[in-house]
Amino acid sequence: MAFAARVESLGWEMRGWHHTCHAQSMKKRSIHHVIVPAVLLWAIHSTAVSAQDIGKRVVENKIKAAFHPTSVAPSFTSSTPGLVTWHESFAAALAASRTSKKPVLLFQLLGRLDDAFC
Amino acid sequence: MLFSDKNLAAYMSENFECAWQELRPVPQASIDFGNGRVLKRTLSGNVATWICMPTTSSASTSGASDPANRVIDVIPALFTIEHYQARLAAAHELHGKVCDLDDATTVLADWHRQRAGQIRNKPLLGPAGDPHRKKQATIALRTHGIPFLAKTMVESSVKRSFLVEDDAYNHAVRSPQAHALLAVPREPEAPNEVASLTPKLFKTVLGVDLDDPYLGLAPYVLGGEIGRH
Repeated sequence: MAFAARVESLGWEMRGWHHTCHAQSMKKRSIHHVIVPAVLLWAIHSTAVSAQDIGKRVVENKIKAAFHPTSVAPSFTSSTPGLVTWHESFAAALAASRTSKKPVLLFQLLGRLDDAFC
Repeated sequence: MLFSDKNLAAYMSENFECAWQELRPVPQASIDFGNGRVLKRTLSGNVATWICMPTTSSASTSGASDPANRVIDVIPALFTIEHYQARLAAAHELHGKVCDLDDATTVLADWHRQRAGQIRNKPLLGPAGDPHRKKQATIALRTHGIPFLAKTMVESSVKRSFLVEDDAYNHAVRSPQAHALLAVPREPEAPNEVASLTPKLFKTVLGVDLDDPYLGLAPYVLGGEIGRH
């Protein structure tokens, strides 16, 4: 008896579970109805964008600009003058030398040491 | 670049008060290809490294742009890292001997006369035995392997070959001339020795006339007479 009652209650539970599953599957279907068209729309849109060939143009325009007759060589950019610790001026180095008792090293050049290619 | 070497930069920063000075804007060469394209490059100008010390000359504030200073040594043009550092070390040692003297002019003049004689009699280390190149190759092989080593060796050997040739020339020819310039007895109280010796060094040792707007290149590059202004 107890076994029958247990089976019956299990049956109800199973039925309830079935109902729940059915409701979930219905929900999933409705979600699919929303998501699938959205994905399709996105895919169509992205195809349309690629049809305009934006990526190719980006590459081509840069090459065209580089080879354009009016293009000029890049200007000299500033760079760090090595790994040496430099004073801002010869006078500052001489002033520092008075206290540190170190000799002064003055590097003279045509152009600036902090210019690239100098 | 010379000052990008880690060991040399550390040595310089530790033992010297370093400064750099732009004597004039760097000359640039432009090649117009006629089709609207212009190639611009800088001319590699000559450089000089002065080792000096401040002095307590009364003329230090007489309108000079920089405080009074006494020149200890000068390194004309570029050298390899090893030779450049050796020159700096010698100058640093000389500074230690003269920095407390009231009149260092005689000691400095004698030292430069001796150095000029030593250089003329001492052979240089040849490019084949350059220890820097061997060390660089060993480090590159350990770090990056054979392909990188091949690329590095080709590139560095090209760069180094120019520098080694410059080094040899500067050591054998320009250094004795620079020492001769400093071996001349100088005034005990010179307001700014670097400023007064710079035009002489560039004109007589480095072959660059700083007073000439064309740096002495006019007859060779631009045409015309020598010293065109």
